[in-house]
Amino acid sequence: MTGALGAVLIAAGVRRASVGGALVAGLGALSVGRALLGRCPAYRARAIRKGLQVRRAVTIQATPRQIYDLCRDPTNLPKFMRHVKSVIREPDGVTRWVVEEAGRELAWRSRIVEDTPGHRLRWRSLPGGDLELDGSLELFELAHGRGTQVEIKLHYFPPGGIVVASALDGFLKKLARAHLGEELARLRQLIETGEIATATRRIDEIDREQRHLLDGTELANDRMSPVSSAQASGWPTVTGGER
Amino acid sequence: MKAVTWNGKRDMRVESVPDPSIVNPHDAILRVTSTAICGSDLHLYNGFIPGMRPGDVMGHEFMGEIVAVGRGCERVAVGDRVFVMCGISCGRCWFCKNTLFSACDNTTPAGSAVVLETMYGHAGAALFGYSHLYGGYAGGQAEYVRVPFADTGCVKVPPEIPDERVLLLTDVFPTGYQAAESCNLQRGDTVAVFGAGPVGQMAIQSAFMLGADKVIAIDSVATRLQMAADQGAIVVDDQKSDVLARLDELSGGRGPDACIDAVGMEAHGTSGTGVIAALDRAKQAIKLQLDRPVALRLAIQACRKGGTVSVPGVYGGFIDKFPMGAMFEKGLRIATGQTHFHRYGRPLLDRVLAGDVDASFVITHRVSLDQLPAAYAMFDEKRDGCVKVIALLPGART
Repeated sequence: MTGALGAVLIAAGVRRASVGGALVAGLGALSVGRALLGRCPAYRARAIRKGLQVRRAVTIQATPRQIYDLCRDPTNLPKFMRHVKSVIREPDGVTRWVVEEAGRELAWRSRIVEDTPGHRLRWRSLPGGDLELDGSLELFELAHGRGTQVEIKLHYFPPGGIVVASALDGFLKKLARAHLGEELARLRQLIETGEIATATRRIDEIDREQRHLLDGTELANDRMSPVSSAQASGWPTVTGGER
Repeated sequence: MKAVTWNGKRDMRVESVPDPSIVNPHDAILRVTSTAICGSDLHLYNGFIPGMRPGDVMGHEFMGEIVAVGRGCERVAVGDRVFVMCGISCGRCWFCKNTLFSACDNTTPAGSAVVLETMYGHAGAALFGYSHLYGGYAGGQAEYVRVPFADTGCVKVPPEIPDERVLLLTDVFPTGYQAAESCNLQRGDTVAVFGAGPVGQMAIQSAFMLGADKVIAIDSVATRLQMAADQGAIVVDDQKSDVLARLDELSGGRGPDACIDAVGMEAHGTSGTGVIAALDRAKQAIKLQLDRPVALRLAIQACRKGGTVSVPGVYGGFIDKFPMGAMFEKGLRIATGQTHFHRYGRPLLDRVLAGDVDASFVITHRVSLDQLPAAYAMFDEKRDGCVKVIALLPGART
């Protein structure tokens, strides 16, 4: 549809052979491009000025309240957010964040702007920091023992106010989404199992100050006992007669 | 400690590596008494699975004695003699609670999970010694191994039973069993099993356990066909006969009720599809296609209308000429995936202890840890009648 409109505009513009005509033809070309690529360069340029928005969901076998309580305590956050060096609580619902990203330290302060225990948290960075960020955490309890759906929305401007080319925007978004996915996966590990999965062979391969981050047993949903293969009752059992 | 390490394509070595230690609270450390080479290890040996790094410790089929436990362990204790399910599952996530253990949400470290998500949409459970794609955990072809979530993955065995009677419960027996169980067999059914390697042999045994009337084994290696015949299967040598015509004949023109592809991504067969098989090999070599799906195509083509194609064979990437038309036209059901090992470990152990079944007949070679690198080559080249190699370490009960 857009493509057809674009073709008509190009045809009309070329026939006029004037500045106005060229503009009309240009608009037509943009529409054709949009139709062919399935995306709109103009729309993307606008999106960049609006910053980078990322959202991601994860389902965790715990109650909304358990997840809320863990996330509400800033000292827990470095346990599953690998790049976060520290989160320090300040008065008036303000937290001070220090993050290490690609060898560079970024610091900012953030304030909680909405706090509905067990449902929703929203926060916003305060002016003067290295990062400008709006974020929210929403929790939806699922029926039939399916746990809680956790939705994170982040809206931020990359540090330094870099002007990002349109192609890079999509790449950054994918990167940010993957990064957020890693953090949410670790949050789920922490809540469901009380530990962060690691293939490390020996404890001394981990920095001393990092060790406590692996172990979150006290945070685990302790109502959940593990199923083991020693506990086969009620499961599909091995059937079949002797030969 | 000594361990078998991967150092590149067809380069396995026994090296000295640091002993593992407890890292997480639900870990245990196992002193390995016996371990095996799995057919799927050959995919690593031949360099078909990405994400291997030099020095990675191999092996996902192992058993032994618990020598240390983390403070979160409740069911296993120091001194327990156990075999370990070869997938790593937390036992607590939604998937584990629903016995979909190989889909466990929490054992693949987040960094590896992101790669798997990019490749497959979602990440499943980690495996021991099976590349950094599947978690990067050190394997059990070693004197010691760190076992995460030991309460979930370890199955205790009584002291009197020899290692080799239970070792195959770690992987190949559950894999063959799930493959047969997925076929939803009815009395009187005919099952075709493509590939008479260890998993194929277990699938044959399991198909009979589950009530199959007739099992047909397809392979080209004489010793493997003999082993299948000894189990009571009808054998078809794919180098000597037209597999599709023979299967049709053996199933009265109807086609087998279920077909099991126990071959996977490195199929050698050329029967009936010679040109396409050669093309597959070329495409795999230049990475245009990751897998050679010869057996899978035959299984789909052979299967009766409304039947089941069960695929325990490992695939990693994309395949060409997947006969979707035949799948649709005949209304086939496909059942595949990594085995939910933990579902079957204990129940199958009970059957072994009761003397109903025995998986150890597939073991053809017993070696030491030091001899494992050479055994990889022998197994890969199917020399010396090799079907299954196990390594016995000090403390193994024989």
